[in-house]
Amino acid sequence: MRLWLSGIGISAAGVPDWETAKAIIAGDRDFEASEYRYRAPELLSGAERRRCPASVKLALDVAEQARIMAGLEGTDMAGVFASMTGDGPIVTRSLETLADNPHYLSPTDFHNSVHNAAVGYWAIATGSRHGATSLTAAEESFAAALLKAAMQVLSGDVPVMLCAYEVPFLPPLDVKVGIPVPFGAALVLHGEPPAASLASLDIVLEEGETAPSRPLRDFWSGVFDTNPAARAIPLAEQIALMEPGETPVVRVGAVGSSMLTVTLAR
Amino acid sequence: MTVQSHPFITAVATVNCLGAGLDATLAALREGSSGLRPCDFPGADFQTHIGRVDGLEDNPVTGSLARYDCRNSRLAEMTLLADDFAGQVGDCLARRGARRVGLVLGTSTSGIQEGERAFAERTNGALPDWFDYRFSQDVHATTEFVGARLGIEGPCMTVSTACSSSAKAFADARQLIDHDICDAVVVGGVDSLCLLTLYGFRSLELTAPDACRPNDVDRAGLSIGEAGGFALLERPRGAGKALAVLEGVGESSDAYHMSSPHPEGLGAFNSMQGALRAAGIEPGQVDYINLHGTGSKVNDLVEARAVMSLFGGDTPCSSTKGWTGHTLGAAGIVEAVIAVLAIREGFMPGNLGLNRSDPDIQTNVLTEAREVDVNRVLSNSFGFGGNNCSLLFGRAT
Repeated sequence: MRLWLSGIGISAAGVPDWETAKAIIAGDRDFEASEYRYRAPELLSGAERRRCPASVKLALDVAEQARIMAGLEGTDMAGVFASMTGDGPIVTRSLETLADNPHYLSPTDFHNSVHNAAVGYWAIATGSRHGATSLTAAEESFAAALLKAAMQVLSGDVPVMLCAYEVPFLPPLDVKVGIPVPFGAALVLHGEPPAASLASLDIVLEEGETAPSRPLRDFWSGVFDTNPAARAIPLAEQIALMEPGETPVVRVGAVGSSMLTVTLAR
Repeated sequence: MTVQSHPFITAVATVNCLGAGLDATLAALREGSSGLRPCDFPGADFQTHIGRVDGLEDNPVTGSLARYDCRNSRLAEMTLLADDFAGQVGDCLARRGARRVGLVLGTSTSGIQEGERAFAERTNGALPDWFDYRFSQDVHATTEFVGARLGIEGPCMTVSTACSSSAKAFADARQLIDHDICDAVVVGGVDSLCLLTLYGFRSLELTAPDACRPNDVDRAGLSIGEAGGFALLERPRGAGKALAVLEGVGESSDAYHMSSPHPEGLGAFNSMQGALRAAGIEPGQVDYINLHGTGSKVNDLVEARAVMSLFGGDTPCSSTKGWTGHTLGAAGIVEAVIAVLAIREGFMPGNLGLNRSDPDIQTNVLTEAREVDVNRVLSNSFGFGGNNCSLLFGRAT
C-alpha cells in the first residue's frame, strides 16, 4: 500500500511541535527536559476549550499542527484516531466517584469518558462529517492505526487524519497503567501525491520475528518505552532526517504476528 | 481500487439477555418476549430495567488465559461457545491459515467492572494487588483474549466508538479483505454491564424507569443491556456456505455534539446513504431497516426524520432494543446477527414496547412481526461523539 504524507504534528515534554522536533532530531537544537504543558485547543469554543479532557487537548494539538502543515480544511478529511487508554484522568475520576458516591457521576465526565471523545471533538471542531474511528490494539495501537489509515485512504476518496495520543492516568490508577508522560503524533495521509508531499510511505506486513525500530535519539527512550503513541517516533525521526534519494525503512510495530514496515521516500 | 465482490457471512453467534445462541434470540423475537428485567445489577441503586446475561458470575475464564478473567471476557467466551462459533472459526483457520484470519471487535467499556471492584476495595488510597488493569479493564483486553483463544494470527484490533463500535468493526473487516491482508475476519463485539454505563446514562437522564419503549409516544429512555456477538466474514473464494453477504457499510460523523444527535438526523442520513451507495442500490431495494431505536426521546425522533427523508414512509422498520436493551458497543453486532436471521428465516421483527405510536414518527414502524421473504436489511448504529454506522446485508445469491 502506497501513501503520501502532507502534514505532521508532534507533542511531548520539551518538544511542543514539529519544528522543534525536527531541529532536535537533526541536532540543530539541544533537547531541554521540561514538564509537559497541555495547550487549550483553539479550534474549540469557550467552555469546551477550557473543560475538554487532557487527551482531547493533546489529540487536537497534534492534529491541528498536521492539518495546518497540510494546508487542508478538517472538513476534507476522514479520521483515524488511536489510543490504548482513551482519557486516563476522566476514567480515574469516574471510577473514584462510582466507588464513593455513584449518584454524583458527572454527565460531562461520562460522555468524555468514551474512547472516541477525541475524534468526536475533532469532528465537532472542524465540522468534518466524514467517517471517523477510534481504535486500540494496546501497545501496538500505532501500527494498527497506520494499517487502518492506509486502508481507509485507499478505500475512500478523501485524505485521512491519523492521530495517536496517550496521556497519564491519575493516582491511584496511574501505577497500574504505567504511562508516566503524554505523547501525541498526527499524520495527514493521501492516496495520490499531494501538491506538497513530505514523503511517500510504502507499507507492507512482513512475516518473521523482528523487533520494532527504536528511536535514534536517546532522549526519546523513556517516552518510547512507556507510551504506546510514541511508537510513532522512529517514523517521525526518519521523516525529519531523510534526504532526497534516501529510502529509509522503519519497522513500526506488530500487527498480529506480522511486522508493519514502512519504506519512506521523498 | 477495483470493485470487490461482497464478503460472505458464514457463521454468526450471539449471547444476550434473551439467552445463549441464535435459537434463543429468534424464538424471543417471534414470541414477543422481552429479556429485560428490573435492575438487579449489584451496586446499581436506582429504578431502571436492564438486559442482563445469566451465568456470567459462575463461569470464570480459566486455564492458560485465566489472566483475562473479567465479566467482559466471560461473556466473550460464552458467545464463542454458542452455536459452536469457535469450532466454525477453527475450521476456517485450518482452511485459510492463521495469518490470513483477522479479528476486529467493538466495545465501549471492556472489563472496566474490574476497575470498579478495585476502587471499591482501596486501602489507604491504593488499589488492591489482584487488580490487573492491562488484562481486564484495558479497552483491547477482551479482543486480545478472543484472538489468543481462537489462535488468530492476522491483524487484531478493537474499535471503541461508543454505541457504533461493533458496527464499525465490519468496515475494518471489509477493508482487511478488500486489501488482501486477510481472507477471513472474525468481527463483532462484547460489552458487559458495569456501573459506569448504568450511572453514566442515568446522569444524562437517558435511562427509562421501566423497560424501554422505542418509538412509542411515551418512551422514557434506554434500558442498558449486555451482549456478545460474532460474525465470520470471508472472501467468497474458498468460503463455506453464506448465511448472507455484507453489501455495504456507511459511516459518518454528526460534527454536532458529544452526546446529542444532529437535530435533523444529518449524520444518520449520511451513514444510511453511504451504505446504499457502497452497495450500488436504491432505497426502494431495502426490505427492512433495523433501527438504532434506543428509546430516547431525541434519538428515535431524529432517526425517524432521517429514514423519512431517505426512504419515505413505506419501508418496514423496527427497533429490537425492547427485547435486548441497548447493548452499547455490542449493539451493532447483535443487530447484525438479527439482520442475518431475518434474511435466513424470512422474518421481520416487530418493535416490542411500542403501544401507542408517536405522531411525529411517520415511518412504517412494525408493531408485529412479519413472516415474509427478506432480501436486504439495513442496520443502524449511532454513538456518542456523533459517530454513525449503517450496515447493509443481503441474501447470498
